[in-house]
Amino acid sequence: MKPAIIETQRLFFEFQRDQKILNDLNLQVPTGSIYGFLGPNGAGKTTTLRLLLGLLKKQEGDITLFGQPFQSHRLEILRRLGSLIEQPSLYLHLTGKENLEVFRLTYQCNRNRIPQVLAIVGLQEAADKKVKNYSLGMKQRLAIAIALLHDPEILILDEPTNGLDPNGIIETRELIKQLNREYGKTILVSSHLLAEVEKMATHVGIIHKGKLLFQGSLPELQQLKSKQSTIELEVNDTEKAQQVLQQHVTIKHINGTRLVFDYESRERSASLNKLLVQHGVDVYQLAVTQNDLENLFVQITAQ
Amino acid sequence: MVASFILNTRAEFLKSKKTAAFWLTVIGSAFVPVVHGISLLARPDHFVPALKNDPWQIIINNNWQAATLFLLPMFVILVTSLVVQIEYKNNTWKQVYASPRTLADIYFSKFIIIHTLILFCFILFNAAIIVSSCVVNLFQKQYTFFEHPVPWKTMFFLIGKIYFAVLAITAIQYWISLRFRNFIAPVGIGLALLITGFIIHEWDHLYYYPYMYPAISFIKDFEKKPGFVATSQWFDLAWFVIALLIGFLDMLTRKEKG
Repeated sequence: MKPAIIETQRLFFEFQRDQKILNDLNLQVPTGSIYGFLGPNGAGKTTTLRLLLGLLKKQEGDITLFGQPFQSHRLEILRRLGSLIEQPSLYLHLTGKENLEVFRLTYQCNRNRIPQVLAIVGLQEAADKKVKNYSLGMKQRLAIAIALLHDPEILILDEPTNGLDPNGIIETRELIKQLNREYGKTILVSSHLLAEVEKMATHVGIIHKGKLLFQGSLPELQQLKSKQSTIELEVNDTEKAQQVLQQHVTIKHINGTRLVFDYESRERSASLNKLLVQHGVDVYQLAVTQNDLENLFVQITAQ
Repeated sequence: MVASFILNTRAEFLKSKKTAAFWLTVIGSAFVPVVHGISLLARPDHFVPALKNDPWQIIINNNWQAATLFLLPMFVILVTSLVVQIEYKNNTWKQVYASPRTLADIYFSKFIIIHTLILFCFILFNAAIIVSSCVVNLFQKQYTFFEHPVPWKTMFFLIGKIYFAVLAITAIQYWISLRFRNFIAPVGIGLALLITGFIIHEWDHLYYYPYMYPAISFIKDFEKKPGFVATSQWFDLAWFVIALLIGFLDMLTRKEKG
């Protein structure tokens, strides 16, 4: 594993006494990764990201970015990262270009960065329109353009696809992948949707009730998931099917005309299907049910 | 450090472009002079003799008197809140705090915007007095504005004096505006404090009370009490520095930013 560019150690946080929002959080975001920070609403994702940006005062633990502690190197670190926290932060009375100009002055970057980032997010044509007339998707893209303005090494994006229509979600996801692939950015992106994270992340951290339940590469997560997957089988004769399958698999439960048992591999599924057909059982449906985030939590916590 | 502060102050200017704060400054500054111009047009029988000898001094004095006691402090309260509201309304505080700016930079650059708008308002106010009086004179030839020189020195002196008198209010209101997300809070508190000033205006130690400094600096009666105006100016300065520092410390120590 490459060295971590973002790291938290034993991070604790509470808004009120004895109500831990973060509980011993040890985040490790490898350089060059798209790190999907996954968890249900209220798990502590935004709190973590706000702590990383210094928007919340750290209470306990260590935060290191680029190998430097955040508190003593705030300005240097912030100069090298771009962020988008919760809904886009934009000046609605200004045009897209003026919004970029405001931040360009702060980041002291070259004027030609503005058309460049507008091109990256595909907003050239709306650049002179007031942001209050933008759609949510356009606002989100402009916010990403602002985050990219100073060509940061790290991007921290909090639920960037929240509230977008399917098209916007796909566009944003592709943009994130492109930024990682073509521009080499390390991207820490939070989401509450497992499927969303699986489609773009190289690494995943799962947070639940302020604790990190899982942290690793995407293949590692998928391995964990497949272990927990089940096959649901719909047949004409459950009794007979049960008899046929009994020696090969453990039936978890029977639900009407459906049998449920553990998934092992694709080949195994095919051979079991063949077996049933050979014994004269009609198979109406055979489906692998993957885990959603909720089930995954249950399983990880049960381990 | 200084260069980035200047750039960030420029960014703050850009943000205030075309905002309510900006329009309030422009339109608000013309309000009293326009009303005065209309009354000059409506009642030449009264104003022509009254403004015979020294029309500029009198009209300038009348305008400032109408504005200084209530409208001006109210403008300061509103414009301070509106400038801070640009960030609250757009949910942009978090982006400001997450950008590589020191907290002092954020705090003082915005304060500079507020002061620039206030000074801009004063200058526009004087310009509006001149323009409205001249326009009136075009329609009503009996007035003698064109025959008298514009007293630039008086105007300049007034701007300086009244600007100094609102310093304490700007610092106090800035702190309150940063404190509250809701626009009503700083405006309501400011208005209440201002009205309290009118209620206690006969108090012997009125020089303690920042919201009355514009009145103290303008109304001639206060000059009759020895040392009263000078004392109020020292307190004005003290309030200004202390409130500005408290506001800054408050920002520094806040647990949740943006």
